[in-house]
Amino acid sequence: MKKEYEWLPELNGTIPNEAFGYAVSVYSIAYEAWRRGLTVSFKNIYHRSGKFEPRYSISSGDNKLVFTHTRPNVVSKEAIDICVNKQKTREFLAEKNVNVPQGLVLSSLNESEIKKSINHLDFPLVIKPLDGKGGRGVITGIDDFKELFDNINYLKNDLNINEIIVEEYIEGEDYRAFVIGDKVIGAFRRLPPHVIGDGKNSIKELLKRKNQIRVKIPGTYNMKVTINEEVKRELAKQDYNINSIPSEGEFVRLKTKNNVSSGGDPIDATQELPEDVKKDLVQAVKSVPGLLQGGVDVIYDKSTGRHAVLEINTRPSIRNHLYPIKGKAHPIPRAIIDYYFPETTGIDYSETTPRYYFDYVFVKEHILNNRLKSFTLPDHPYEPNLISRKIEFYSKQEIDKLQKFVRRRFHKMLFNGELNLVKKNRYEITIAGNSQDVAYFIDQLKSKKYISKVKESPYTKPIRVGFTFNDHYIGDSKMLKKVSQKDKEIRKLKKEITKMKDSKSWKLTAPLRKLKNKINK
Amino acid sequence: MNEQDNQWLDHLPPEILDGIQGNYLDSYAIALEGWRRGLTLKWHVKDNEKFKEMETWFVDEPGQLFSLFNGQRTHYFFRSRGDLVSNEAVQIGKDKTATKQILKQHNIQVPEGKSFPNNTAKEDIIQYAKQIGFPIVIKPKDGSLGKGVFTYILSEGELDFSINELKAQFPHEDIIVEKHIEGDDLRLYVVDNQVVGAIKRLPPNVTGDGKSTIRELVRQKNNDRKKNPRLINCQIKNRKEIKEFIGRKGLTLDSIPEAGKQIFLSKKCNISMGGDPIDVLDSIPNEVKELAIQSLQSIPGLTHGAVDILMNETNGELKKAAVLEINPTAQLGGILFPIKGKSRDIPKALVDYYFPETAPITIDNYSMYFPFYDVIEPLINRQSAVTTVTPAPVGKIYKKKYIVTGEVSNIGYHRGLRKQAFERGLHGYVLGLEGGDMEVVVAGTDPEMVDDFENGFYEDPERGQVEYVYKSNFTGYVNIGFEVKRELKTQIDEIKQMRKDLERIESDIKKSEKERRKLEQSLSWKVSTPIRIVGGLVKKVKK
Repeated sequence: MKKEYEWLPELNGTIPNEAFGYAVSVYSIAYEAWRRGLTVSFKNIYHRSGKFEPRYSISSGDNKLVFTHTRPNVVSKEAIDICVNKQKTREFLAEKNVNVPQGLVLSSLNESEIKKSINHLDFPLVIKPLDGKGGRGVITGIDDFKELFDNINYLKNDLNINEIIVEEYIEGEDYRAFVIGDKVIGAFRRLPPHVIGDGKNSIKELLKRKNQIRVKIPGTYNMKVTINEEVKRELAKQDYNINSIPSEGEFVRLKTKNNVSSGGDPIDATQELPEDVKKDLVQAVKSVPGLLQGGVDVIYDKSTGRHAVLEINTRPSIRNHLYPIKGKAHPIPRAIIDYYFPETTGIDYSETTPRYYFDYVFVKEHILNNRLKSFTLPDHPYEPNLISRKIEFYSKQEIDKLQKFVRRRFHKMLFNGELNLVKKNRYEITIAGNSQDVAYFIDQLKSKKYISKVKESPYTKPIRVGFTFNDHYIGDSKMLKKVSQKDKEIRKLKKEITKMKDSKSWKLTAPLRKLKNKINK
Repeated sequence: MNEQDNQWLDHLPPEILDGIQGNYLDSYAIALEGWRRGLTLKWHVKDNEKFKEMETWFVDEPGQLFSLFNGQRTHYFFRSRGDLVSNEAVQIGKDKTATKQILKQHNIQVPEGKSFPNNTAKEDIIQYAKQIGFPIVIKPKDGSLGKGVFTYILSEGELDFSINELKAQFPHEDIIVEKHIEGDDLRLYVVDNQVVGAIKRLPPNVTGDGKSTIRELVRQKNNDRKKNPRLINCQIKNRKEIKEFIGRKGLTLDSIPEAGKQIFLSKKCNISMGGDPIDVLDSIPNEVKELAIQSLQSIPGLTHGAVDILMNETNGELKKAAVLEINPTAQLGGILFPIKGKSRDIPKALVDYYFPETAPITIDNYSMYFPFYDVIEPLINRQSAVTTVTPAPVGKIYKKKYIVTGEVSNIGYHRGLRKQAFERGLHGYVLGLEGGDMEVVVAGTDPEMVDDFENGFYEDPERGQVEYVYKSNFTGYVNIGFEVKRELKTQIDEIKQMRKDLERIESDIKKSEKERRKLEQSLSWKVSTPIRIVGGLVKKVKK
């Protein structure tokens, strides 16, 4: 299949598995800062609720920003309060002539009161909670009063929501744009969960393949589409079941909801939005005092050209901008760092072969268990005569000793890379460092008695900063067997030796042995 | 070694030290003291922050550079030395000749002696030695840990030999020649014009029991030393030197000393070479303490550090005391873990000095600690430049241990408990036991929360079904944070351990095989073949 997307080259191979999924937003911004030589520190914040919230700081001298997800602490508290409240958002935006849907907060849930208060709005309508998150409690396309009251009761009684917004429904597609300063950096829209037929495979098979691809994409990792009642219902609407074979190129919708975490696909839509809409998006962020940046939700109808800004998210996930399934990724991390650290614009220590990246396992191993309160990354390495190599060799040396030897060399010569135990006694080193030092190191390996069959080859993939030892040999079930077998062997040998020493002839010949020792001297 | 011979600090038990040795032990003990008082503790890599300006050495291996922060001030430490000791003081301390000169200027008694450039003719050195008179000591100018130090040289011939040896070991070092002073080798630790610890260093020695040979006594003593955090790696070694030394008294390694008789094995008092640290803080004369304080005062910027003094005291009367060396970056282990006497809390004195406002804090969170190697691991792997240890809960610590039976082995359930622990501000661990049960330890400053944790077991009935909860008081030490001990990492560690065992077994087998081969090949074995055949026949007949 032809590649329909173009992702950021700097993130190719530089996002470790541990940072896949939700953490991509955090990692990619921290990475952008790190590769410009800025100091990056991760912190653990446990709320009283026990909930873990990653924080990280980026600093250059005295200029220090602390980020919560994608939002820096320079975004004012007032701005956050405004954006959480959808009615306030509407008022602030309308004030600055940004297109917004007309609407209001219901002051009473009494039916006649409602009728009175919304008499300036035309059906169809939308209702939603005042401070809801995600799509919870949002009901669109309400066509008459009966439907309206039914749904208001549903929100009130079933979802326990009492502050409800009613607004006009606007025809069009949902877009999410990332705005910082006076620029729209990128926009995407979501396709509902779907598969595209190839005329050969069943929907079930197509979905399986799609999920396999999704888990390999940092942005949609662990967000599989599972076949459930909702999917079956949706298929039935289209006269399909999971075993049907759609024709080639056919778009088969699997769910109505299109948020990415339930299986929707982001596609780049930056070019679809005309300039006047983009201008309005920038204006929207500017209308909220102290906001600086945000993820703006907008509805835009291509056929009529009409648009309306629905809400602003102060700490949007940016992974959908970075990993669209179709179209171009937009460098949001770069835009963020450019904006807050303009003096670093254009600096990039990672434009080398190999690129460096930093590990993210520490979050799980040191931050989540609350051992460490904070964790500062080492500076991005800088080496003008950089070279990287893969070195394979064979050694029977004890693993700990070998590891220590290699680690010490790495420290001394400021190498970065990994030592991997591939199979029993088989090792592989990936290394980046000063070219002369690397050559010297390889010579050193070759000269060691306990190392043999040293083979080197070029290596161009990204290198993890620091020194890591990976044991790919563990998990071998043979190990247990071997241990008990060797134990037996050793017991047998020991027995044999005691038997020998206890034997009459050994004791009898003691004088002989003494004599022999004397002769030898 | 009698158990009651020494009295160590309750709050620094060997069991939490987990094999931390030498300079790392100093760093850990001070860091732990500050951390327990609620100061923010950070570990740093080489040249990080203020360490760029501080005199440090051999710091490629992390765990020797740390900082403490009280909300306003940060103090940086390299091993046992903090940033209130000036770099100049450190440089002077490193240069034995310079130290001596300054001390002399301040009328502090030092051993008579002189430094010779490394290219000085041997004859000149010998000539000088004769002039000041034997016995003498020679040592390299920049040495440490007693390496290349030759003490108690009695004759010209011995000196000739010793100079050759020293030059072979340290070809580029200047040589210091000093008059040997008979007496006790003391090390005093001074903080802010007060002597807070003092040990006497006895040369390696054993005490007879009337049955064992010197060789056996050394082995026993070395085994005892392994139980002392300071002495783990300071075994009595160098058989050759010992043989020579006891040979002078007509002894061999096979001699059996009578019960209670102390036999010295060397003249060198260095702990790292087998010497014994013995607490003497309460018994040394005040004049000696004064001398130590004056010595530090004579060196500008040396606010705390160790002073080595030779003291000749006969029948309680101080005959002579001379200052040998000043060490601004001294090891504290000997004072913290003496073989005899009380351990003196230098870490406390140091943190009091650097953060006087925390001095009145009574620490009652002694059972909390942080795992040293866990917090410096990211630095060892160079994946981090600074790590900040999660702050210690300050106050009285309440601890409970729960054994929970039922279907409670789900890893997700265990992680849920971690969240529950953080909700309640608790630290501890959950450990999956065989058969699906689990063990949970929680600790915190709020007794209600520690008790309330029991309710947390029932909050996730989908993943964990509790049958019984056995609750008991927990008396052990608790690591900061909350560990889910059945996580993949732990399993991998288990397998790694297993493989280590395997490697060890394999090398044991090799050794056994070798021994067997040796036995088989031994001449007598071959000679006795006929006897063995006869023996075999006899056995058969007996049956």
